[in-house]
Amino acid sequence: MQDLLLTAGERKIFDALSDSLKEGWTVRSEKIETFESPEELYMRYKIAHFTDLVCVTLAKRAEGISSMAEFEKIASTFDVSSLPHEQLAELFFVLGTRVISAMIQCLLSRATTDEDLEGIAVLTNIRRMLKEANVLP
Amino acid sequence: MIADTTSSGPTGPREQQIVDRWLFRDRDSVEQRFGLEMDRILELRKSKEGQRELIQRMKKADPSLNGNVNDVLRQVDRNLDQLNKKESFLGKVVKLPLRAVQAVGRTIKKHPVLSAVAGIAAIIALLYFTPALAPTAGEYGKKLIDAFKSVLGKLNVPTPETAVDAVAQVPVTGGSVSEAVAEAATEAANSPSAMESAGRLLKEAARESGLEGAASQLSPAAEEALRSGTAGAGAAAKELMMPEVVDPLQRALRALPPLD
Repeated sequence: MQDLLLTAGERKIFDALSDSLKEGWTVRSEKIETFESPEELYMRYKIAHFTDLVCVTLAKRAEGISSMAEFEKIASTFDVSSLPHEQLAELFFVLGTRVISAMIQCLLSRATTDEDLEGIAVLTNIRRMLKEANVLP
Repeated sequence: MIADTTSSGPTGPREQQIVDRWLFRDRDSVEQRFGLEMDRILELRKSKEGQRELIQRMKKADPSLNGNVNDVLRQVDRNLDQLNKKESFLGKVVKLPLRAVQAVGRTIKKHPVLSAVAGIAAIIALLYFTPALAPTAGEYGKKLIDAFKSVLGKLNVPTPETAVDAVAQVPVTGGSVSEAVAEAATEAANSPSAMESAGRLLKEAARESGLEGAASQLSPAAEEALRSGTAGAGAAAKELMMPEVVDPLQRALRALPPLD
């Protein structure tokens, strides 16, 4: 996946990267015209189905927490790379296009290697998939 | 689709329990409950006649529904809509090569703040709706959502939490905000140029509705947000219009502005 599907704002961040890093990557234009409504996202949380041990273990660890800082600390250890396809999809579905877009912006602004861009490219493709699902009647 | 003509939703814990009995996480459970294939149910919900048939089936399956049937039907409608979209999305993601999925995972893992966003979202999905953490009652749930807003802020999602929280903390003791003001605020939420007047209108309305205290208790940050025409002001205005939204997760999701 060598194509990055970037919005105009993301394109600017990409353009500011070094020429050597940008080399070999194709940027295609993305337009996110509609986002999920709060009610839709709320429903997604309600029907989410996280069954993987990594998720369940994380929730177990979070059960006894009593401060915001602890939540953040434990959550930051969440190993997304170990999730199977369905669970990763479940996660992105819950997060929605706005948060995924924020992730893409954050990742782009910190990208230093081809591997980073590879991950971002896949994430932009996942966002496209979500965008397509969002407009289903 | 079923028209959302009311925003009140279930009125108490018992009603909520009834509504929650009609929550479906997968196609099988939907089909089992309705005794119909999901595609047929999706088709039926599009027409009045179809909706009547669904209501009949629901009442037959759960006689305790009675007066809650419309609330439940609205939830079922949204539920099925999201299930349908999720199935489509999942179907595409699972076809991605393993290498691609691993690349995303590795890239996110490099940044603890992104892992934290993902982790807290998973914790919310797993814990927030459990009965022990009833979202509107639990201090735990509130802290969890505060943590979510905090990490989103670090991710530069411009969650206007200061403004929203300042407005949300306003005690709601007077009348509701007038329709004209609500409309102006909604418009303002999408149009920075209209924000200044909407902010002024909202404050005036709060005063007129006997909420002088509320208007004067807006923090400097919230006042600035209302004056400045930022996305935060839009969310603040929206929140002021929707005092019934007490679930912290709903409030956080409503505060998410569009990006880019």
